[in-house]
Amino acid sequence: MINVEEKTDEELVVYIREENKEYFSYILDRYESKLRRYLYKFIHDLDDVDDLLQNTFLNAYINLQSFNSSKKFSSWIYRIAHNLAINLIKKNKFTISIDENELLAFKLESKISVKKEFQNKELSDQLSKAINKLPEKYKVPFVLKYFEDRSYEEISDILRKPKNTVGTMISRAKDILKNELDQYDR
Amino acid sequence: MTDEIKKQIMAKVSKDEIKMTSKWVFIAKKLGLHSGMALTIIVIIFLLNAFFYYIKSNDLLLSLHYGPAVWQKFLHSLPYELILTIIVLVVLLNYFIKQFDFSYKKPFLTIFLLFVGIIIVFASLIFITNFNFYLKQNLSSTNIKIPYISNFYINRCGHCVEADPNCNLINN
Repeated sequence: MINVEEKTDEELVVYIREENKEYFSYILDRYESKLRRYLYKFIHDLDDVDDLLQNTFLNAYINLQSFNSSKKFSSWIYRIAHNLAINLIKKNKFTISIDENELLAFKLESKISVKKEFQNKELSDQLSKAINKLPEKYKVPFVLKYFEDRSYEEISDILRKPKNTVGTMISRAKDILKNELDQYDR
Repeated sequence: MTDEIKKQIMAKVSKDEIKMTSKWVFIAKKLGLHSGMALTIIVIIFLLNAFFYYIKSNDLLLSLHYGPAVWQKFLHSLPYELILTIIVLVVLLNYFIKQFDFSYKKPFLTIFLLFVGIIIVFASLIFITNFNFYLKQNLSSTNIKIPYISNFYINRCGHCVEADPNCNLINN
């Protein structure tokens, strides 16, 4: 028996692989809500999200031996979820969209204060629309950074792009949003 | 999660309806990937070296001094099947590089050009040795026939090419 609370994801994965596969349920507990929230940004159909979530965990389990425990597990499993979501989007021609209610957890490093943003529902609507208008290549890293709270390194691992490129994409996303919101302010 | 999904997944795990792929499969895949990439690089180096030798042994670059009239003949005399093979292998190399994690840590073009640069350097190093001369000699003197390579080195490399006063190439 191990104390699961004290184990990192990577340590838990090693234990699952070598000792007890039943502990995979703890991985499910740790990542269910995070991945569900992330997948919901791609697909707004709850049944599809459940399917994607199930496939993500099944794929993760089947390929668990391929995970390099010296790297971050969260990046690895997010990448699986991301790829499955992108495949479904391409197949069904969905677009990634942000629900305005999600802006409650949103932090924007700009002149607009978070408090003002929350108080102003109209601004919140505009922000939501502006984010949804972002080109996909800027929107995905932006969502991962500000909605999923991933580090630049993790986003780099999930999207398989250089860290500098990720930084540039997020910076451009913020510039576009600022321009959109400036137009609104006028 | 809905408990339903968690129960379904864990039921499959417990009953072994889904199984973890063995680590040896991933090790074999990795070995295959490394080997494939190494082999591709070695073959490209060799073929590029052969291309340099073809150009030199046929004095094709010299022919360019004779002006635009000769350039068409120069283009006609290039070994296009070799060039095409090199291009296909470079495309394959591009695929192999993308399979590795290091390929996205830096801009991909930089990494790809670095590989190409290293290949050109090694091909050049082999070219300036006597490797091609001895290979041609050995292929000529033995009964061993390597498909394409034997014919390439024996029959297509090493012809002495000169130009007549009218700038027409003469093959000896």
